[in-house]
Amino acid sequence: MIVLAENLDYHYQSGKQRFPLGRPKPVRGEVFLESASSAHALRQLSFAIESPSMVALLGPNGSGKSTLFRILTTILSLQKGAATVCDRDVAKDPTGVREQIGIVFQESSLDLQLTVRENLRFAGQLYGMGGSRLHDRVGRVCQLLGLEPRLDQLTKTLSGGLRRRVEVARALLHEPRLLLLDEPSTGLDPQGRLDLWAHLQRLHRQEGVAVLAVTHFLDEAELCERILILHQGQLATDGSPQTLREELGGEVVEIVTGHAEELAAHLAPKAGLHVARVGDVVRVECPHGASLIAQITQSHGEWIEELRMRRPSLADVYFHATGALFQP
Amino acid sequence: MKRYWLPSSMLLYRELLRFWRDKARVMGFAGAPFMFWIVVGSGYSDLARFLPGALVLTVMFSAIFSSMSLIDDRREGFLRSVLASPAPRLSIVLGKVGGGALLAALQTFAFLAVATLGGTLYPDANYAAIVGLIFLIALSFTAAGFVIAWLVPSTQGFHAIINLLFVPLWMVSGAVFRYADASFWVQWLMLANPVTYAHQALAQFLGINTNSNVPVELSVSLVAVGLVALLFAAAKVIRRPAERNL
Repeated sequence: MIVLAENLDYHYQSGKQRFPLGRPKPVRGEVFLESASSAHALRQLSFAIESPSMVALLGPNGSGKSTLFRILTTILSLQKGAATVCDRDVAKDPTGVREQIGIVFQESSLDLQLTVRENLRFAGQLYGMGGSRLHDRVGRVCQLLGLEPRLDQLTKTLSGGLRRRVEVARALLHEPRLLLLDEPSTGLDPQGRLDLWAHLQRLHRQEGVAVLAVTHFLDEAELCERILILHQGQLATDGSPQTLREELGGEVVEIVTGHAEELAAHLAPKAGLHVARVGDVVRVECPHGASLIAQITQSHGEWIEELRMRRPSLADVYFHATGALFQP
Repeated sequence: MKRYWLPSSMLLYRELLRFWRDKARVMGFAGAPFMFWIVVGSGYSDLARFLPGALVLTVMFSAIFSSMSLIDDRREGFLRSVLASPAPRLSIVLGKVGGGALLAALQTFAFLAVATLGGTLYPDANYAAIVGLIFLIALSFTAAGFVIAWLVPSTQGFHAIINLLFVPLWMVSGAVFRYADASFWVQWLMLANPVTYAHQALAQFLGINTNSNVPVELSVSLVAVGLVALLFAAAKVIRRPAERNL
């Protein structure tokens, strides 16, 4: 079992003003709460990742994905529910969890004054590695991520994409079973993004490491074997990109019109249609797009400014699950 | 044991490495004793009496500024990766505090060497004891700085707290005026001030007649107790949430 979450509940307390030097001690561990307002971040969230697969975690802002990431990486203490990561209990054995996972944070956590080699060696020592084992692992992860020519370069002289690769290399040093990444593409150009994900896929294939990546990009999620979509602290949908698209089935028709509200009201009661209005666009999920278009052009042809039809994409799956347009 | 030793030694070594790569810091480190030497060399009759106070001031500021590296580590994100690792929290404290204290102690040794060049000033000084004591004081101040840097999110806040707490502690440690010359209530403050004992012990090891009835062993023990308490506080505080640590 890679990850097992059962009935996770998390509630951020308000009161930043009352504790200017840090909050009173919560249950355990080193915790940082960034939300200033009281908010229910996770509600009865349960899911399991059994085999070492490559999983994407998607969700709009405030869906609870960062909270979940923090709980799984033991940065945030559990409030309610239970979670195990690589068969270790997050609440009872956080050190055990930390030994089993490699973490790549959204923001850089490298020491820019040090060389790539120093960064890697120092990280290895934090995980209790030394001697020839550390030496061999540094060589191995650099080979995997193509960092060998950069080993003795100061990290601050590297490009954003290379720095990310150093962070991934560092996360892999202690041979973790699970690699957790929090929006690893933040700040990378398209080429850097492609490159990073090609490396992640190769690592997953060659080293057999499980990957759980919080992401803001649908094309990245598309590369994963499984997608979890969170919405309002709950699991909105879960499956492979292929299955999720097939589950939605049929077609998506979008009608651009100045009478969006009326048209949506007209279509909503019809059986088999899933109708939503987004600004000037009426968006309809339907089993037969072509026949719907024929009907609409006949009955409300004069309202239509533009018509689009497509097979459901991941963005549509996302919309269906969360009711929010996907905005990277 | 390896679980403790490896992270600690790494953090300590990193502290030295970062110092060495920051040429401005190295210049300040090497230049300050030299400036001091120019002043001292020009002649100062009461130097013998004021040196312990100058040493305490040097070790205090060096140690506290070293511990500011924690704020940099937090800002640069490095601290995040340290805290998310399985490294024992105590080993993190010992590595960070040890590295900062080592730099502070070395700086103070440089001062001491310049001030006592030739050895004529303090014929009765016990230099081995002084070196050990300076290490002890440096560790204490660095641990105190660690606790403050952990709790205070900004460099500005850190400076404010340091000025508020440590400058007064130094002023009423006997470094500026003697115990006997102080008013009644200031004498009580001096007795309650841990820095007084650090200053006292340094003076005694230098062989200065301090007219004190506190035995040097007691002074050193009190400094050591202070260090243990501060390390304990640091180990405690690192388990607590602090703004912007992660």
